[in-house]
Amino acid sequence: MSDEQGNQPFEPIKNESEAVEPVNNGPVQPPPFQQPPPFGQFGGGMGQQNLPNATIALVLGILSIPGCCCYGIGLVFGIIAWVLSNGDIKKYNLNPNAYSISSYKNTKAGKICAIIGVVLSALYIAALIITIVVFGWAALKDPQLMKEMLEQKGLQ
Amino acid sequence: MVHQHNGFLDWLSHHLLTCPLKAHFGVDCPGCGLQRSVISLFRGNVIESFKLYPATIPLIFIVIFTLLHLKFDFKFGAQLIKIVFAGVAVIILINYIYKIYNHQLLN
Repeated sequence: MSDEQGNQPFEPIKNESEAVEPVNNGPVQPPPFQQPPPFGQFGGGMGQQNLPNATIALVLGILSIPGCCCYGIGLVFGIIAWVLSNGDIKKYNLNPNAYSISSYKNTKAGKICAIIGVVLSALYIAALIITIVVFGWAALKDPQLMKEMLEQKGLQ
Repeated sequence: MVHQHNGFLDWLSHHLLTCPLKAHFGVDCPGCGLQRSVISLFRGNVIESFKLYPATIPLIFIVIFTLLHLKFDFKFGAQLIKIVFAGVAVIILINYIYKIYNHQLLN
């Protein structure tokens, strides 16, 4: 049982593409090898450095939920993390080869956490404002009055 | 040693940060119960901790996991953090709505 295809000489695949040249589409391209890698780096291939604010953005984004209720710290944390991660994502998109993918993923995760934290804090503040508008400042200052007003409205 | 530990937790439970909203208005905020819940978790009362604040355990998990992830760089770490974080947000929202409907805000 001879297979015709088996007798044909094996052709080497000829798709030797040209070496990929880095696209220089921006006026500013920081050389990846001249800057020392920052502390606390994770992963990262040869010559790839981490995005500068990846860790901070991730940590602040996560802290934005526990701090959501204490004096609005969560909102501040969330906004800082959002802005930082936005800046880093822009940097990565300008020059994807210079930065490690894991730090890019961390930055994106930090951005999403920050967005969730900001939305929660904003909802909380909006609910607070609505409560003040509906019940008035005096009722909020006085729990007894608040209970009476709730009973009037048939809520309690 | 154990007594010292309990003493520290007792001291901590009397020195919690006061929620400004609760102090001024007497109304719970979405984060009220978190500190009490963490303390009861340290004491070993998982169920009580869950009743006080259901999002405590995933929150502690996500904080520890993030530290480990930053140290060791897990492959799906960022993805997992995102998912758990969204879950925590949903739990907090549901918990607060539940509190509103059950009139547990004023106490």
